[in-house]
Amino acid sequence: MSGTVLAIEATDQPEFAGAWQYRNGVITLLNQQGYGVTVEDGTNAVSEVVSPIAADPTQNITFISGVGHGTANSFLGFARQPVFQINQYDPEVVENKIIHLTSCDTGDSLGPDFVQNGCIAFFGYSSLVSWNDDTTAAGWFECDAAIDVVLANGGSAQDAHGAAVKAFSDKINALRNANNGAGADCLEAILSCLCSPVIDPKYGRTDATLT
Amino acid sequence: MPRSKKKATPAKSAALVARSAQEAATPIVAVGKSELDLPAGFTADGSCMATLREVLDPKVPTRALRQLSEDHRFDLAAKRIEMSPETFRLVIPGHGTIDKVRGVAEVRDRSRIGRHLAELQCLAINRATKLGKLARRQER
Repeated sequence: MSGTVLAIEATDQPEFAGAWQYRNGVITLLNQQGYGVTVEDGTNAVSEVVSPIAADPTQNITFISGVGHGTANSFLGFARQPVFQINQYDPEVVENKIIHLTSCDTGDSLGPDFVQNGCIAFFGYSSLVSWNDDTTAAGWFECDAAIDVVLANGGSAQDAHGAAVKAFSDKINALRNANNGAGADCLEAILSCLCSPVIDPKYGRTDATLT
Repeated sequence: MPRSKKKATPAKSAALVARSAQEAATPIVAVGKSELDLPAGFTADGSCMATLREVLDPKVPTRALRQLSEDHRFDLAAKRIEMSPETFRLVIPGHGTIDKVRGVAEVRDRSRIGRHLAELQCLAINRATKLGKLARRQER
């Protein structure tokens, strides 16, 4: 039986408004592939709601995918409250799970901390991300969603990383060809801080797949 | 390395001078004019900034980006943002929208946001320099 995906959406944060169309596409795909999906958004995107679900073995959560603000040590949900923070979560929350956080900075310390506590693969970004216009923002969300799409289709962490890199490279070229050099530079900077097991074993196993 | 044509004697170089003049008059199509006028390096002695046009001109001795000190890189980034259109903006989640005034201040402060902006400007310089050199080569 396929596991369940826990999607955490900081829908109250307007910077991420462009992400939802790609997130909806991923959720639809996950459902089609037989995964259950639990979405916690708005005021439910908080640690008090999310952590018990993630840690409950009867929920069989195998993948956590979140969009929201981040810092080196924490992932933030509703009203920028920490959902996950180093030294503030139980290992059961992350154990045997793939975790993908679409946010700034979490790849710096939080991602490796997840892996040390049993997460099998982490995807995120180790620095600030930025964009010059809505087209570039949408480009980031689209390229980032390639990770979840590959995982949903049974690919490994390594496959997901490769798909994301290709998506970024294609989008960077497309922006350059459209004379949006500033946008291309933004995406290049984002790609340079993409974290995954392919980048470093501290982000987990390259052969990790969704179950 | 200087190009061989720079070593040509004045007596032999009439054709090359004419070609240089033609090159100077030929627009570098791959790079916008406004970008050519933005600072993209420093003069070889490090005394003043050099525009992208100068950086691309083999007759003007300049320092490449990778040869610049950190101080020079931040100076370049601040100046480039200062010279950007009034519409300059960059969204950094969690830090809001950065406009020109704030962007210059952040770079001058060398804050975390300022370092990020400087990194983006360095990417822009590298991109424009590469495109400009490619265009020059194609023109030949």
